[in-house]
Amino acid sequence: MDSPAAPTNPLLRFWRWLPFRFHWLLVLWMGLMLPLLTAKTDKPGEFYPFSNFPMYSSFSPDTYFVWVSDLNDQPVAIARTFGMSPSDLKKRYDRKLSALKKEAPKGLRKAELPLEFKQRAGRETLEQLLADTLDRTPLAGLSGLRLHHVDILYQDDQITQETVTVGEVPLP
Amino acid sequence: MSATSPLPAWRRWFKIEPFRHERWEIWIMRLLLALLIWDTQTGWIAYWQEPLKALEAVFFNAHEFNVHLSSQPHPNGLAMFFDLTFLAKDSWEFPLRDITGVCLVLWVLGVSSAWTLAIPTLFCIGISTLNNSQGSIGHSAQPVHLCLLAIWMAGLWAAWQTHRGRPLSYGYNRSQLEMHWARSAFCSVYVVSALTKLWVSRGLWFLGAKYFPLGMLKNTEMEFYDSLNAAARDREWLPDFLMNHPHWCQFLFGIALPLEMFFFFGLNNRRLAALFGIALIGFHESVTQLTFLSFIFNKLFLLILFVSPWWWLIHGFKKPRSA
Repeated sequence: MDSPAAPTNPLLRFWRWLPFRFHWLLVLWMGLMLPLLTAKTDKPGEFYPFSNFPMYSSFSPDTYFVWVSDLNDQPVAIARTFGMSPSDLKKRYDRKLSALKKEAPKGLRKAELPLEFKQRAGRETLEQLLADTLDRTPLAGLSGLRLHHVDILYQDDQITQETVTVGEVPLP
Repeated sequence: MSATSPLPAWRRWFKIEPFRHERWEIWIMRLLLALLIWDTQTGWIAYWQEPLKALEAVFFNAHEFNVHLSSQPHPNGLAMFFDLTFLAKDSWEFPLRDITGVCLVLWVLGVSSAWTLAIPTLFCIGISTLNNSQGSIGHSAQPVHLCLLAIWMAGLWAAWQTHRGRPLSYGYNRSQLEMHWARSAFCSVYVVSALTKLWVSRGLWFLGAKYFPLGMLKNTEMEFYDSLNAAARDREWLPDFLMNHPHWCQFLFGIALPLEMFFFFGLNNRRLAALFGIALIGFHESVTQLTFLSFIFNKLFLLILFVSPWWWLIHGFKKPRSA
């Protein structure tokens, strides 16, 4: 093979020297370019199948999850009933909270949003959940659904949980 | 540098020795990778503890795995530019999934990936993009489809280079380049993830790891509400225990960050690939035990692309420098 003349530009020289260039191109693309190009979207760094893989990138002394119940607060199995994981349900609710956060007073974190914001997000999440559930058989006998938001906090050297109901929809 | 040069031991460990997969090894790797890619279209791995059911799912689940999505309210990826909902219509979804299955078989049998992986790549990425455009981003199949894209691109690149009369890097043939690019793509997932951790936590990721037990508790509860299986709550005492002993979490995650960050050394040779592969599988398994997150694709891709136990059984211990 003809060996091309060595480039004078040090960056180009470095690039020629660098082993596994395909790997480093992907690192550059997913780790730097993609987050910059998608910075103004509601999910920066995400462009399937490319991602900057932000899971567990930071830990904080508070987190939360959501669960679904009937109108007597008896829990409903999320996967079996809706064909969706609780994690995906939480992500959908979280995304609605993120969208509503823009309407809230500045400086508030998502966790600090007033209850009415959480209730709007919760109701919209339940409505979307029902719209996406084509097979309603597992819902037979239920008169409605509730969404519960559970904050997990680390306070005074112990873990505590606080639950609020953030949404309710009747079932026909 | 010749193989007989007296390199210091540490440099020998890091020496770049291309993975010259033989045909039998390529065949095993393709078969396993194709099965994992096919799982993203059939969900057969859910039955892994019942082999007959799993086999049945491999052959007959393609139409059971029906996607019902008629809108893309939070478009992600290509959905930002195109309406991908047509992929969820049975008249498109089922034929494309059937073609994907046939194409994967042809690829395993050795037909060029440039041809055979075009439809599987576009269909898998398209349907997952549609799924990820509903408001929640799922990352579990992302490395699988990233590797699928890399393998397809390797096939196209190999065809282009052959057309131009140019050799492939490291003297690889097409099949070896496919695996090399799949390994490179998979490795980039970890390196990028490590960079993101450092960036988002402003370098304080290690310190913040002491709050990981809150995430554990969250996952335990979500596992319970997934199926209302009370067994999920068997280890509810663990988060409290770990909060009171934060160094355990900091130790576990303290190891994980450099493992992810320097995983690219695993591309250098089979020894480092196996070492990083086993260490990362161990890390994923620890997290699985603590959080119920399966990381099944990650563990199996690490096993197939990096650990490659079949190679070590045949060649590895006999002649470790002949990779």
